[in-house]
Amino acid sequence: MWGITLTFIILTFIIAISKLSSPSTTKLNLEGLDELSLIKIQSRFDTRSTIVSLSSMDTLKTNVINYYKILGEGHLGWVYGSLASRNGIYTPEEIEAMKATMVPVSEVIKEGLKKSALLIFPSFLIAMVLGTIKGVYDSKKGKRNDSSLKLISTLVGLSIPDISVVWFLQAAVILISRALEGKSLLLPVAGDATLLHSIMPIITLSVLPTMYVARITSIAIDNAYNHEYVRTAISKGSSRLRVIWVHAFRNAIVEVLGSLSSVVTTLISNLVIVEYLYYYKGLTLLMLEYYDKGESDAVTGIAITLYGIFLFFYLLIKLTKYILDSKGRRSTI
Amino acid sequence: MNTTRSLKPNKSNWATNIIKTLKKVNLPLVLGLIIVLGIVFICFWGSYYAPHNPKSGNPAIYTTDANGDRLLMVAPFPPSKTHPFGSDKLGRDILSVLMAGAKNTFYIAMLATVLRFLVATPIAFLSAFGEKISKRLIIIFSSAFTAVPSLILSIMILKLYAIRKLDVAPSIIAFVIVFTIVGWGRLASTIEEKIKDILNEDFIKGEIAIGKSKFAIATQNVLVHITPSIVIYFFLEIALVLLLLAQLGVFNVYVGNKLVAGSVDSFVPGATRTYYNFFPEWGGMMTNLRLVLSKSRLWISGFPTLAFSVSILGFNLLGQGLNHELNKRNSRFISNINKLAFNLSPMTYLNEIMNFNKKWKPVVIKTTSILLVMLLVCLPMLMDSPITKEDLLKHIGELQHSKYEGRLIGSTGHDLAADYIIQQLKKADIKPLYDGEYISEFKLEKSKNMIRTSTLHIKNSSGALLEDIKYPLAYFLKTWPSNAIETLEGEILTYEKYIDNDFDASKNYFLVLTAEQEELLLYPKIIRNVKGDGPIKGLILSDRSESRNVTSKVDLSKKGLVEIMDQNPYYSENPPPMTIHTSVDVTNKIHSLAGNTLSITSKVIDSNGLTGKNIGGIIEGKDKENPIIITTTYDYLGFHDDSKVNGVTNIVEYIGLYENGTAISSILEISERLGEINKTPKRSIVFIFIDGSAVGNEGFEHMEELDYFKENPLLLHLKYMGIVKWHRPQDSFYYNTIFDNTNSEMEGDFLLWLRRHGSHNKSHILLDKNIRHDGLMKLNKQEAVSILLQGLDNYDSQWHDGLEQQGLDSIDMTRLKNHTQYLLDSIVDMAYGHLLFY
Repeated sequence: MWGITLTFIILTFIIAISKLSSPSTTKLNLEGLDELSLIKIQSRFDTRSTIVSLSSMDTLKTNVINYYKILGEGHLGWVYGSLASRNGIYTPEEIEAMKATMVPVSEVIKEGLKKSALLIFPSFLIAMVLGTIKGVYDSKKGKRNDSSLKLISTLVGLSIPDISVVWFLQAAVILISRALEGKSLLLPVAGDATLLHSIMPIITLSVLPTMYVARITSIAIDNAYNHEYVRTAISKGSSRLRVIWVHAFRNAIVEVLGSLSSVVTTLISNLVIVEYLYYYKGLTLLMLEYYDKGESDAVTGIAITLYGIFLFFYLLIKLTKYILDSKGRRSTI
Repeated sequence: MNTTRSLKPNKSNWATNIIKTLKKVNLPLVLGLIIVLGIVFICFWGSYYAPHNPKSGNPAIYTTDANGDRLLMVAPFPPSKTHPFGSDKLGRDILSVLMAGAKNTFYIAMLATVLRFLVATPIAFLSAFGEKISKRLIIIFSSAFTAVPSLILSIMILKLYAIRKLDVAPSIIAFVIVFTIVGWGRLASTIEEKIKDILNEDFIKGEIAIGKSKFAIATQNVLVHITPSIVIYFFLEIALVLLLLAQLGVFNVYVGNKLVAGSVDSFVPGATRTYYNFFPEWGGMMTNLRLVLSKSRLWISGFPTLAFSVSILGFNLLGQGLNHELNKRNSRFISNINKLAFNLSPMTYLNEIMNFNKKWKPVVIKTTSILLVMLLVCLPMLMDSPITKEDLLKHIGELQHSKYEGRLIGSTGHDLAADYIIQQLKKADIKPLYDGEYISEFKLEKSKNMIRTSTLHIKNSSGALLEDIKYPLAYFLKTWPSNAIETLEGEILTYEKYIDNDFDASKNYFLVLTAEQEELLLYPKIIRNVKGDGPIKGLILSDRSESRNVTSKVDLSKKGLVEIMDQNPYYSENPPPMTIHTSVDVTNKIHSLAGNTLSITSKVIDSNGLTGKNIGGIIEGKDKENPIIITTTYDYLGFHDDSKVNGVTNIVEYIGLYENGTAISSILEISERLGEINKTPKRSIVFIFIDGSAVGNEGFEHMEELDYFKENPLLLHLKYMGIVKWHRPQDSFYYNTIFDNTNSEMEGDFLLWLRRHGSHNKSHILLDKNIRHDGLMKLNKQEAVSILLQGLDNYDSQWHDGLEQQGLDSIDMTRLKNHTQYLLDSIVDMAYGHLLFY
C-alpha cells in the first residue's frame, strides 16, 4: 500500500514539475488584449485542456488533475506541434489546421524508447561484464595492503565527468580523421541514423557504471575474504582462482546485485548528457526538446516513461537477487 | 627498513622501488590534497593573477603578416603565447576566466553542499532514530530524483523565465536551493545508513543499558562518530555538485543566465541564440559544448571541461583517500577529527564561557572570529540618496511648458530651455565643460528647411474670408518655391476645367484634385504636363487617409521639413508646382469653393546658418582616461499650437517629452545626485545635452571635437526613458552597442556594472540590436564606446516616435524612476569605484 502511495506521490510530483515548467503556460501575459483576441487565444488553449496563465496553485492543481483525467482515458496526451510552440492570435480555421498536425505522445515515446534502449542495454551489459572483471582484479584478494595505484585507477574512472569523456572521444575522432586526411569521419560523431552512430554513446555511457561496478565488486570480494570459510579454503590449499570463483565471487555477486539499482540510476541520468551531446534522439533529448517547445504533455509522458524504466530495472534486480540469494530466500520463506 | 633496502646493490630496480612506495602511500589522499589546495589557492588569488580581463576581451585584433599587410583576426583565437588556453568567441582569455571564475564556482558549490548537509543531517538523524515522517520524506525525495534524473528536473526548473531573468546574486540563491532540493534526499539516506551502522555497534548497546536517553546518545555518541564520515561525504558531495554545475552549463543553464549575445529577445521567432556568461564562472563556460565540438574549436570547451574534471577528481580523491585512511586500523584520523569537532562545537564554546577564568583564551579567539564574520556579513551597504518621482516630474513638468515652444532650434523657446538646463546644472554644482562656459556654439551647415508658420485662406472675389485651414492639422506642404517668397495667391481650378482648358493662362491657379480623381492616378499625368513656371502654381492633393492630422514624428519629419525647389538641381530645371497635401474632406471643401481665391502664406526657415548650442557640464575625476559621457538630445521639432477651433482647444504639442524630455530630466537628476557626493571620482563624468537633433544631428559631430573623446570614453546616450508598452515587461530597458569597432572590453565592463544594479532597481537590461541613433552612428567612426539606452525596443519606438503628447499621464513615472536610479547606481559604481561588496 505504501509503495502505491509512494508511486502516486512521485507521479504527481513529476507531473506538477513538468506542468510548472512548461514555458507556454507561463509566458503568456493576457493583460491589455482586447476581448476578441482573448477569446481566440482561449479557444486555442481549450484544445489542450490547460489553463493559460499560471498565477496560482489552483491552476497547477487543475493542470495535474486534467492530466490524470487524460491518463485515465488511457493515453498520454498529445504532441501539439505548431499549436504549442507559438503565441499568437489565430482564427478558428488556423487552429483546426494546426490540430490536424497533432501526434499522440505514445507514438513519440515508442520512437524514443527504441533508441534509448539501444544505448542503455548494451551499456548495462558492458558495465556488468567489464566491471566485475576489473573488480576481481582490483580486489586485495586477502592481501593485507592494497595497492593505491589500483584504487586510484578506479577512482579516476569514477570521477571523470561524462562530459569530458564525450569531449575526448569526439575530439579524438575528429583529430584522427583529420590526421588521416580522410574526407569522412572514422565514426559518426553525432546523430542517430545508423547503428554505427550508437557506438560512441555506448562507450561514453558505460565508462562510469563499469567503474562503479568494479568498485562495488572489489569491496564485496574483500568483504568475502574476511569470512572464515574463505580462510579455510585458502589454508586447505585451494588455488587462487578457485577461491575467488567458488567462494568469494559467488557470495559477492549478491551484494553487487543489491547496488545495481544505482547503476541504472547513473545510466539514466548520464543518458541525458550523452543523448544531448551526441544529438542522439532518445527519450531524454526528446524530453528536453519538447520542454523548450512547451509540450507539457509530451514532457510529462516521457518523465513517466523514465520512471517506468527505473521501476522495471528496480523490480528486475530485486527478482534476480531473490532468485540468486538462496540464503535470503530461505530466511524469508 | 631503509637500511636493509640500501644494502641491496640492485640499482636498476629504482622504478620498482618507487612503485612500491607509491603503493604504500595513500596516493588518493595525497593527490586529492594537492589538487584541492591548488583550487583553494586559485580561489583566493586567481582573479589577482589572471593575465587578462576575465569579463571581456577584444573579439577582433589587427596583426601584421610576413609581407607587412595588416590582417584582421577574429575571435575565437587558438591557444598562443598571449592566450595560453585560447580565447572564446568574445575574445575573452579562457585561462583568465577560469582563474577568476574559480572563486564563484566553488562558492556556489560550497553553498549548495553546505545547504544539502544542513537539510539532510537532521532529517537523517530523526529518521535513523525511528521518526516516521522524516523517513518517508527521505524515501520520496531520494526516489523521485533518482527515478527521473535530477539533471533533467534541475534543467526544467532553472530554465523557468522567472529564474532565468534573475540577477547574479539571486540566481545563485535559486541554483543553490534547487541543488539542495534535488540532492538532499540521496545524501540523507546515505547518512541515515551510516547512523544505523553506528547504532548497531556494541558500545551503543552499553549506553542504552546504562539508561542514556536517545537525545544524549545522538549528540554524545553518534554525532562524534558520524563526523569523520560527514567530512568525507562533504568532499564527495562537492564533487557531485560540481558535476551537476558542469552538466547544467552544457544545457545553457548557469548562474546569472541573463545576457545573451546575438538575438536576445524571445519575441524574435526562430532566431539562433548564442549564450555567453558575463559573470566569470565555470558552468557558464560549458555552454554550446555541442556547437563548439562541431566546429572543432576544441580549446573553448576543452579547458573548462578539464578544469571541472580535475577538480571533481580532486575532491573525489580527497574524500576516498580520507575514507581509506579512516578504515586503517591504527589510524589516528578519527581522534584528530573528533578533537576538531569537539573544539568547534557550540557546546564546547558554551562550556568554555561558563569556565571563563580557566579557559579565557579560546573564548576570546572564538568570540572575535565570530564577531568578525558577523561584521563582514552584515556590513551595511553604502546607499545613494534615492531618486524620487517628484524630482523627475519637476523637470518634465517644466519642459512641457508652452513657453519652450517645443525647443525648436533657432526659436526663443529653445534658448529658454537651454537656460533652464544650465541653471539646473549650476544648481547641482556641476562645473562648465567648455573653458568656463556651459554652452558651446556651432553653426549648422546642412540645409534643412522648417516651416515655422503657415496659413491657408480662401477668399471670395470681394475679399471676404470663406475658409481658414489650419497648419499642420489640416494640411502640409511638400515643396516651396523659394525662401524669399512668403505668399502665393491664385484662383482655385477644378480638374474638369483644367482638362477643358477653361482657364486664363496669364493668371495664377491652384489645381485641386479630389480623392476619386486621384484614385485614377491623374497626378503623375498632370505632374508631367504642369510646370511651375506656367499658370498652375500649386496642386491641392488629397491624402487617402481619413484625416490629415499629423500624428507622428515620422510624418512630421517628412512634413515639417519642406524642400526648397530652387535648391534642388532637378527642380531648378523642371520647376514643379507647389503641392499642398490635405485630407479628403478638405479637398472636397476646396473643390466646392472653386473659382474663389486661395492664398497661402508660409514662413520657412533654412537651418543652414542657424546656431546650435551644445550644453555641457563636468565632474572632473582623478584620471583623465576613460571618462564617462552621458548624453541626450535636447532640441525638438517645436510645435506648440493651442489655438481654439469651435471652442475646442486644438493642442498640437510636439515638445518631445517622450523622445528626450524624460531623458533630460533623468540626466539632470543624476547630475544633481552626483554633485552631492563630496568625493573626486576616479573617472571624469561629463554631461552633454546635444543640439540640432531635429535637423541632421550636427550636434553630435560638434561634440566629437571635445578632447574627452580622445581618451577612450564611454558614452551613454539616453532616449525614450520611462515609456512602456503594455505587452512588454515593465522592467525592460533596451540597449544597443556596436561590437565591431569599439573597445569591447570597456563595454563588457559597463554591462557587468549595469547588471549588478539591475535587480535592486527593478530593471532588466536587454539587448536590441535593431535600435539605433543616426547621431551615434557617426560617433562610432571614432573609437568611443557608445551605448544607446532606451525604454522602448525598436518595434515600439517606431510607433512611439514623437507620438502626440497626451500629457504627463502617459509617462510611467515608476519606470522612469527605477531606470534613473539604476543608471545613477551604475555610474556611481563605475566612476567612484566599488562602493559595494561584490
